[in-house]
Amino acid sequence: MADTAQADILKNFTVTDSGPSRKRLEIEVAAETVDQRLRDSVDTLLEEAELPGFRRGRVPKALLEKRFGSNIKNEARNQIVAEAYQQAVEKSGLKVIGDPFGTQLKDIEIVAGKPLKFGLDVEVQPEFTLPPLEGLELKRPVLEVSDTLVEEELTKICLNEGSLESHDSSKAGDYLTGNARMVDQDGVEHYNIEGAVVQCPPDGGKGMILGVLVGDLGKQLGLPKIGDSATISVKGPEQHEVEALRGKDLTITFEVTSIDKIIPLDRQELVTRFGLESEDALKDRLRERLEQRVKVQQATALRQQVARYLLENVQFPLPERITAFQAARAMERRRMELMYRGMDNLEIEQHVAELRAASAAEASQNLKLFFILNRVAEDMDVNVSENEARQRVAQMAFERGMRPEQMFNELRQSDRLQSVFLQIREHKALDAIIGKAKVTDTAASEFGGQGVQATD
Amino acid sequence: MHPSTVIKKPIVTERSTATMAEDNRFTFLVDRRADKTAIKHAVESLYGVKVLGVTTQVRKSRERRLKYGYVQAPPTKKAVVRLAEGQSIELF
Repeated sequence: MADTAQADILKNFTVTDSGPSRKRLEIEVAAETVDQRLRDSVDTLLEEAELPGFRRGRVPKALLEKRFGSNIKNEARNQIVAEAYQQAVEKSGLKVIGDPFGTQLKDIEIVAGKPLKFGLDVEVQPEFTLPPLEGLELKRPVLEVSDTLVEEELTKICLNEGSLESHDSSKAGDYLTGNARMVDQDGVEHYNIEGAVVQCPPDGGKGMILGVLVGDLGKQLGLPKIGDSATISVKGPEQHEVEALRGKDLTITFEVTSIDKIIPLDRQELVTRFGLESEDALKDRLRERLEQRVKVQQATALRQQVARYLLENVQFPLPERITAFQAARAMERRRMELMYRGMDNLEIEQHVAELRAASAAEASQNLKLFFILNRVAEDMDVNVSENEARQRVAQMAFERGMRPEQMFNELRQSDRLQSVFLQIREHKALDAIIGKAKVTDTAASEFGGQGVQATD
Repeated sequence: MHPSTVIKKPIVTERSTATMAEDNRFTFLVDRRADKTAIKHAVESLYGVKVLGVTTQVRKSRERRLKYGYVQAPPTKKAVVRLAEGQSIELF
């Protein structure tokens, strides 16, 4: 097997341009290789399989093929595709970023005795020259944790820990639960979710429903009662990760089944829950958390300056329209960044909805920064260890009042750990540039009014 | 008895696979009440083959002690059916 794994399995492959920073790989693997791999898969299974009535390794081949045929084929297909893709990338000398996309692995069909042909889209590192990265002049905002901020944070936690009180009619700021159905102008249903939650916009203006930002949600939704139904019309965001929604005239029907208002938790009760003696002790604990957040914000401010510098001084062609894959990645990056900054889930989803509604130019800039930071990380040989990822997760867990292990498992289950690695890599690349820069402290007011806020 | 009542399921084990290959004999779990003639007819009608001979074995289950007392599963009947040369049943 080891020899086969190293052997050249490519019969033929072609690389074509499929847009800026994108290539399409068409790969063909010979029929003999396919047959050989299928045989190898069966042989491996023959040695290991244990079925009732048979000793280990004595199961007839025909029986195995009948029972595990599809598994055998899938395993052989996965191996062939991974190996052929790797060899094609090595031979073509492409600098691929991330995983291939465009074709789902399950859509590639492997048939014994026939060559395996498949196509994959890959994102490649664009060619560009980096500007000088040493001696940049950066400003660090001097931020202080004031008593007002501690008070705001305390109020926010009381709200988060608060209980729900059901009502028959809604007021601004209340949470509505119900059945939300989204259809486009052609009558195609995209979502039909029972138990969808919508907040009546507190200011009666914009709000979010089914992950889409609606400018006049307050007006369209009104203040419904239980059993009422509201119809909301909105244009599909141009940067939505579901391409089928982009630019479409969408109609969302929302049927209210329950209305809840958050009753903030009593402060004394919160003190008891935290296992502390007094409100002052709780405030001291919150002050520590906010001080930690200040450090994150200062680092973020510096990183944003470097990011701006890089965006302004690097030029290369960008795609006119970002793909669903790129949009999904951008959303995930934003989500991670906001989690790192200590925002709660609802605020994060609102920011992500805003990102979906962002202009094409903004989305391209986002993509551009991703390419640049990837190149900087490569040039500076930035690597991320699992320990660093665990530390970052622990920090995010502390911000969200969760146990680190719980958060780590949650991220792993939702397949987001890779995003944590990516975020740390980008941060480390930016920090490496900051390390070589001249940093001067500036009052928060001079910096552009960015003060420490309870949420951002 | 209906043929599908007589034949419960084929027995696919190392031994039955060997007898299949060597002597063209196929093994089935059959209904305890079925006799050799019924088994022969059942196999012939279900699989469309010519049966040359049938041997049967009744396996009595052992008494087992469980937490609520002694239990004994009903006996099972196994039939080994020899087919005419050149004929076969696709069991897997």
